[in-house]
Formats: sequence, C-alpha cells, structure tokens
Amino acid sequence: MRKIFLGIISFIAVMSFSFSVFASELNIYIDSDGSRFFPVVKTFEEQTGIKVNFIKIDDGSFVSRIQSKPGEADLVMSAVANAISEAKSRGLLQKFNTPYIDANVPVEFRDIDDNWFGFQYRIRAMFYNPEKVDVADMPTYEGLSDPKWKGRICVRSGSHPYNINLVAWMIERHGTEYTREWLQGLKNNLAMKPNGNDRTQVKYISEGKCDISLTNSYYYGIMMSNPIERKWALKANVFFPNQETSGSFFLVNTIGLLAKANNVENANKFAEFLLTPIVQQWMSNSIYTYSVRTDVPLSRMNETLGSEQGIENGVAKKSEININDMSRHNNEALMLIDAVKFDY
Amino acid sequence: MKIFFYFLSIILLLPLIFLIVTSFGFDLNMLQHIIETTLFDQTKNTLLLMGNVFLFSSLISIPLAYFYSQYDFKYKKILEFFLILPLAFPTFILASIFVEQSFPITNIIGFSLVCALSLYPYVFLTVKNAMSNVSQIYNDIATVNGLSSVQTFLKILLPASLPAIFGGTLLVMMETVGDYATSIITGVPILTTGIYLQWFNFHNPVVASQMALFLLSMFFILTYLFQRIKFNIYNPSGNNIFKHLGKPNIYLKSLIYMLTFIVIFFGFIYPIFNLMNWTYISFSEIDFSILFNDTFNSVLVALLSILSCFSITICLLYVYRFCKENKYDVFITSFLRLIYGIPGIIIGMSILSVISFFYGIPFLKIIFDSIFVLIFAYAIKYYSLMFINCQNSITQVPKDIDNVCSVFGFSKLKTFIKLFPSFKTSIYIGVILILIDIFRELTMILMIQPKNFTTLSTQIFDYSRSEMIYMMGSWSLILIFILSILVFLLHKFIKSDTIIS
Repeated sequence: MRKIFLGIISFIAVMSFSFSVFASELNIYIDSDGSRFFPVVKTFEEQTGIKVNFIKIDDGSFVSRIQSKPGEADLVMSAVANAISEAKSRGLLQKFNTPYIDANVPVEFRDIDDNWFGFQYRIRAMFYNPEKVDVADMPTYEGLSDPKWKGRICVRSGSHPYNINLVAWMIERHGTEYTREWLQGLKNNLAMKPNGNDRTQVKYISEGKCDISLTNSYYYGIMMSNPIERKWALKANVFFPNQETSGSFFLVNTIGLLAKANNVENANKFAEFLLTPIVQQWMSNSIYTYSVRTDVPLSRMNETLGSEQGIENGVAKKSEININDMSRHNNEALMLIDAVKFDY
Repeated sequence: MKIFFYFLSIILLLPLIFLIVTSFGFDLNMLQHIIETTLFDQTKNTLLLMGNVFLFSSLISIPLAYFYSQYDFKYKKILEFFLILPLAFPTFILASIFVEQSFPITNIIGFSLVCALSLYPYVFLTVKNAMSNVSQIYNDIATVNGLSSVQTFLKILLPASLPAIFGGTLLVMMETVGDYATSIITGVPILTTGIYLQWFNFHNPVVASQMALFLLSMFFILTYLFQRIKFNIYNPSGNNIFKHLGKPNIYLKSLIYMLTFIVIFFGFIYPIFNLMNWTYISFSEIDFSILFNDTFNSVLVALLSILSCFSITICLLYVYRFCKENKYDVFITSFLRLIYGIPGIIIGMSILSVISFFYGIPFLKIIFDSIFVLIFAYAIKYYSLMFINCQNSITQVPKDIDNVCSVFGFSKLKTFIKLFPSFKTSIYIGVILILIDIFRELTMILMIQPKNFTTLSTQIFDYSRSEMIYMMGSWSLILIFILSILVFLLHKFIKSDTIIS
C-alpha cells in the first residue's frame, strides 16, 4: 500500500513538473486570436531554437493573471490594446530593448515608453447589404445612432473588447455624455440583442435579419477563404466609416514586455521577429490584417475593399487618435455599456 | 486520523476561505454601478435560466423515463443508450453549432433549451430509475382499482419520482448556472458572466468575490429549499422480481419512437453531422500533432484528477467509517458534499486568490505553474460525486461487521479493504461521472490553465473565440468520441438496483 501511495505521488510530481522546466524558452500570454499565430511561432522556434510556450488567456484577463502570477510569462500578446495599456498603467510592463521597434513601427502604433507596440492592425469597419443600403447613405460611426436605422443594425456583445475599444474611442472624440446618448441610440437601432461573433453579424446580413453590421475588416478575407462563409461575404460590402471626417477607427494587435519577465533577451528577439517584413507580409496575406510597417503592401484581397465608396487600392484613412489616450477610457466605456444595458 | 480529516477538510475548503477573505472590502462606486445597471438583470436571467432548465429538462425526461421504465418495445435498449448520449455533447459546443446554423437560441429560452438538451440525461436516468423501482404490487393495485395508465402515472409513478426529479434537475441547474461559455455564445448575461467581467474587465476582484458569494448563497438557499421539500408520499419501492412491463399499442409505440427520435436528433445526430461537415471543410488545416497533444493532455488531466478524487474519497470514507463523528464533523462533511454544486467560476476564482497569496514562495510557484493546480481544482469540485455514492453504499453495510472483523484480529485498514466490494460499483460510477464532467468542463480550466497546456475543450473554445469555427469540428469529434465511450460505460454500470445519489 505504501509503495503504491509513493508511486502515485511520484507520478503526479513528475507529470506536473515536466510541464514547467525548459532550457531556453519564451512564455507568452495570448488571447483570443492566438491560434492564428501558430505558423509564425513555429518558424521562430525553428530559426532560433527557443521554445515558445503559450498561456492562453481569455480576452481581457491578462491583468488579473499577471498580478496573480508575476514572472509566469515574458510577453503578452493581445488582439486589442485595452488590457495591455491597463497593464502598463499598473506598472506591469517594461521597456523593449531593441532599436528595431522604433525604426519600423510608426509612432501611432507604439507606446510612448516603448512598453508595448502594435504589430498589425485592422479597421472596425461596417459591412452592409448593397441591395438594401446605398453606399452613399452609409452612416458614420456617429450616424449609427440615427433613428432612421432603427431595427437595421447588428453587432456583437458590447462588452467584447472590440466594442469596448470603439466606445473608448468615441469618449475620447466626443466626451462621455455624447457617447452615452450615442450608445443608447445605437442600442435602440439594433435589429436584435447583441449575440454571436463578428462573422455572425455578416451572416445575419446575408439572411436579411439586418442591413448593417460592425465587423472588423479582416473577416472579409477570412470569410472569402471559407466555402460556407464565402456565401455570406458575397452578399455584403465592406465600408470604411468616417473617411470624410476622423478616419476609420482601428484595432491594434499588440505585444508588451512584462516587468517580471525572466527571458527578456528572447522576448526582444521575438518582438523583432514579428516585425520582419516576411512575417508581416505573411500576416497580411494570411490573416488579412494590415501591417504597421509602411514598406509591407496590402494583401490582394484587402486592395479591393472599399472600392464602392471610392477608396483606391484599399488604402482607407484611419483615425489619428492616440491609442494611449483612447485606452484611458476603457473603464468608463465599460460602465457606459452597462449603463445603457447594451447587452440586455 | 481525525487530525488528517481536519487537515484534508481545510485543504479542500482553503480556496473558499480565500474567496471570502478577498471579498472583504468596499468599493461603493462599483457596487452602486452594478446595482443600478446590470446586477438585477443578471440575477433575473440566472433565476429564469434555472427555472427554465428545471422545466425543460423535466419535460424532456419525465415522459421518456415513464415510457422506458414501464414499457417494453423493440430496440429499447439501444435507444435508451442513445437517449443518454447527448451527455457526450458539452453544452457550449451544442450552442456554437445551433448559433452557427441560425437556430433562434440567442435568448434566455434558447440558452435554457440548449442546456436542458445537453444535460437532461441526468434527470432521465434518475427518474427512470425511480420509476423502475416502484413495486409491481402498486401497479397491480392500480389495475384492480380500474386506474388508467395516465392515472397510474399521475397518482403513483410521478409522486414516487419527485425526489429523483428534484435531485436530477438540481444537478442540471448547478451545471447550467456556472456555464460561462454558453452564456457568451448565446449572448445571455447571467451572474457568472457578471462575475467574470468584474474580475477580468473591471479588474475588481473585491466586487467579483462579493458577486460570487451572492451566487453561492443563491445556490445554498436553493439546495436548502430542495432538501426541505417534504414529499408527502409513501415509499412504493420494493421487490421487483415479478415486474412485468407493458406492451405499448401502435400509437403509443409511434409516440415513443417519435419523442426519442426528436430528442436524439437535436441532442446528438444533427450536431454530429455538423461537426463532421466542419471537419471535412477544415481537414487540410488540421495540425494532427496539436490534436494529438490536446487529446493526451485532456486524458492526462482527467486521469490524474480521478486519482486525486479517489484518494480523497478513500480517506474520507475511512474516517467516516471508523472515527466517531461529532456535530462539527457532520457539519464539515455535509459542507464538503455541497462543494460539487459550487459553480466552476467560483472555484477558479478562489484558486486564483490562493495563488496570488502564495505565488512568491519558490516551491509553491513551481506547483502553481504546473497542471497540479488544475488537478487540485478538479479534485475539489468533483471528488464528492464519488464520495456521496460510496458513502451511501458503505452505510448499508452494518457496523457489526467491523466488530466481527475486530474479534478476528483484522486491523481497521484490513477491514476497510474487505468492505471495498460494498462500494466498488459506486467507485466505478463515480469515476465515470467525474470523467464526463472533467472532459466537459471549460470555465475553471480557462481561468487556471498552466502554460503551454491546452486540452480538447480549451482548444475548441479558442477556435470558437478566434472565429475559426470550422476548426472546432475535429477537436469536438475526438472529445465527443471519448465522452461517448464514457456514456456507454455509464449506461452499462447503471443497472436497475443502482441509484445516482
């Protein structure tokens, strides 16, 4: 009995610890879009011999995890800037130590202290049914609250980071009171309670359940690559809002270096690797996001987007609002989303 | 031995103690905000969800349990197995499929229906068992008194099954209330969603803990109320050697087949075909090494957790059998039994609280970074599934036997080993039920998964969140295949004389 007990304990110990010890490694917290970056990571591992361990975290839960387990990871990668800028404001990040970032990432995609930077971005676009809405009538973000769109708009949950960011952007542009009214107006115009993901909204357009959705631009390319979703995408056009005014709001794929990182050198190597033209081009072509590098061209798919509204080669004007300024409003945005009961 | 019992109890209760400690604090602004905005709706949705799930799972299970316990018809055994197969479908996968296929489930009714469809087998099994146990004498008396089948059902079988109905549906409600993933997929915010948002979006563990304790108190009140319900019935179970099952006429037979088909179709066949289609579409993109790795990880976590649950059960059973209990021990044991009902999100949060407190200690850091922490969480939540069944079985063995063994010079340990056959089946059933729960579980593992460690369920949810919905297909099929084997074993083990407590 004693031998069996000792055997069991040893087995548990060996199995448990075998997941914790590596020679040269890099530990990365990653959120919802993590699976898309597997090929990049595989190439990095092959080229450098550094083992990359992912710790998949649900959207936005980085801060709690970093605080609970400081030193568990070296980098944090997120589909948006919310959590990463929150982490920075709590002193949980440190400066990247590589000139490659400053040389290749334009200032609007970088943290002022180089604690994090954006490596790809996509526009929070609108998809619309061209049979029901004339492109000339398409609204700005602000116009989404106009009662003329009542029952014609689809959007996913308000508390999803994509929408929290958009609301924070609106607060930065127009202030809290305006944004509260705007959010209430948008809620009143929804065709149904927020549900599903970004692609679901395009599907609803193809099924005639609504005419306009808030959907990230890169989903067009992704949907066109899938035999089932292609049918939905073909029934919708992509529209880049606010081209005449502020420029379109965009979401940034961000990466930050954690203050308690144990593998800082490897983290810097990975950051540089992410910014190489080959990797940037691969992401643009495969994920249909936009590169932050000015020398990496758009994917062919993205070149066609927005042509109906007169955008040439898919190059849409994007908002100039600073990501740091916008991220300051995250909590306020969440409270507004709650206050108007957006998801209820 | 008593000291060991107290030590084990403290370990098992430690996360909950930390949750309570974390909740000490006062964030008036945030409390005011949630009370004025979302708390009422989340509570209302949670209560509605519980009520609906109670209703729907009963409506599905009771007629089926009646037919399958009182009648004999062709293909009954195989159909009965298929009826419990929806248990092999994790609720969030079922919800993803229905949302993707534009079923109108993105509302509270839809959310409740999906949960009921995935979890009703728990109610079906317990109610069918209760109805099968009703003595033939009562049926005969009913026939002699000229009661029709409907009257027999209403006057004898249904009252006799009420404890099973309430017990089964309570289990289903417990599972549902903690289902964060399905809440996100269907777009219906419940208290669990609110807790998650408080902790992770607002970064406010104090209010999140307070909300968790609020949810916990709701659960305890519900459990208390269910236990207080006085079933004003006689106990009509008895020897059923001479039980004869009725032969349904053609209309009734058609009704039984139709009901069975509808439930199996929506609970298993239709979703499986969708997953096959998704697998076909995404086949060229499948990385089989990741698929294999995730399968291995899922099996490893499940087996190690079982080992832990088994160890805890054996220790507690030993204490229960051979140590004198005082009123505090009874209270602790009763409380430990209730842990199973605590939603996964609360256990996950509790463990994060413990980790935050002790992470600075190097030895514990290694443990907290390993899968051990996950196994610990599963052991806390699920061991009682095994323990309760075993406790019921071992209680049926008279204590006199212990004295006889003692007279023959057997040590307590040897006596305990001799008692093993009395709760062997309960151990087997406990193992299967725990494995099913662990393979289906998602909320806790999402919160505390170690680095570089993905399982089938986390990868499926990851694909779902990344909007790579078709990639879910192959991972889901493997998971459902494993769960189907477990459901098959459960079906084999649950015989007419065995009750899931």
